[in-house]
Amino acid sequence: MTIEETVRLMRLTEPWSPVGYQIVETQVQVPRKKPASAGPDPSLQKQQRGPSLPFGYRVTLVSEEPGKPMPVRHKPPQRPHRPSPKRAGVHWAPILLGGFFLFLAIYGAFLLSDSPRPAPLFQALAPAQQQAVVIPEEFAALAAVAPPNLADDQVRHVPLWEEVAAPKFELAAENNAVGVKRECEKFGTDVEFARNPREAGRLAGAQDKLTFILHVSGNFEDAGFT
Amino acid sequence: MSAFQKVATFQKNGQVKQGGNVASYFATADGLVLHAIAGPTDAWTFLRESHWANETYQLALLDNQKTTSQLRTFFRKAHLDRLQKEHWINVPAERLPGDVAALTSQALGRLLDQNEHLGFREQSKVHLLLAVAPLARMDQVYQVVFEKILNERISTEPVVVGR
Repeated sequence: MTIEETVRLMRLTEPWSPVGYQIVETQVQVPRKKPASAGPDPSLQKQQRGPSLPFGYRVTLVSEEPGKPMPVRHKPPQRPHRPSPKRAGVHWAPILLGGFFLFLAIYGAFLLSDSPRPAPLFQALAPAQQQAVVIPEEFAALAAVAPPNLADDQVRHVPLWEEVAAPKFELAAENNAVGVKRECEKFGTDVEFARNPREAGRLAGAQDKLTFILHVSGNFEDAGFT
Repeated sequence: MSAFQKVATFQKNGQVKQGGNVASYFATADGLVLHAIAGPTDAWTFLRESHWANETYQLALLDNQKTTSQLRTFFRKAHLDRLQKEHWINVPAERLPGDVAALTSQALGRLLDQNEHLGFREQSKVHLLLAVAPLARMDQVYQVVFEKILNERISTEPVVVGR
């Protein structure tokens, strides 16, 4: 690459550089040793000066149009720093994530609470639902104080299932052995079902528990017939 | 403790099931119905209703309501409160029968028939039924629930399998 090409390249890469360049070739003379007997001889002095070797190139700044001041180009103004769109989106991610988990926490607390759901809108806005329920006349005859019923007024501790003419069910002796699972099945659920409501009542009474009775159409023990 | 019982039937054509329903009862060990859920429901509603039945019963025991008549008064008030607050239904409490044991399932069925014009939902009818007949025996209410509320017929027939 010649020096002119190098300067042209510099001009392209540095647009704020001065317009023009003047290349001046300089030379450096290498001195030689003086001979002892040599007198002042111009040709000999010329020979003593030795050949001129180019040492380098001096580049000076000149204007392209002589007589005119050299224009000075300023650096273009730098663009203000703007964050990339990718960087701007990152700040929203933790906010959205935190809001999502906050919503889950609030909604989950609402689901787990035992507070009853609010009344449906159509009922809340319908004052007609406030009308009194019709009670049959035959109930009016029973509206008086109920006749004294010793059974109703006694503290309940005797299961009435035994008062019904139902055979008493006793687990066989071998089923009472330690390690033998009592006769309850889950039928694919997490609930242990006794064999019948009477059995459930008996077991619940023994453990001072309530009973859950499921009335179904079909055969609950068979999923295909439930 | 839990148990199930078949009280009705449905028809099955191939894999398609037609008809049929389910009713859930929360009762004491001696078979007196504290609360009921008519029809299928989601887990959240089932859990809420079962909690309500148990907690109301425990609250009654805490209030020393240990006799059957005391428990009936307590649960009648609880059902009337839910009817008023959740279903916006007023029931004249002074006209409700005192002798619950004397009520028949036919009389309770007429109660729901005479109030059909009010357009109650299924659970509203359950609360009305148990407010009129709190801690009724299972045999007094199960037919009314299945036939008058769920519109299913009580049947001992097996499941009909169509071809």
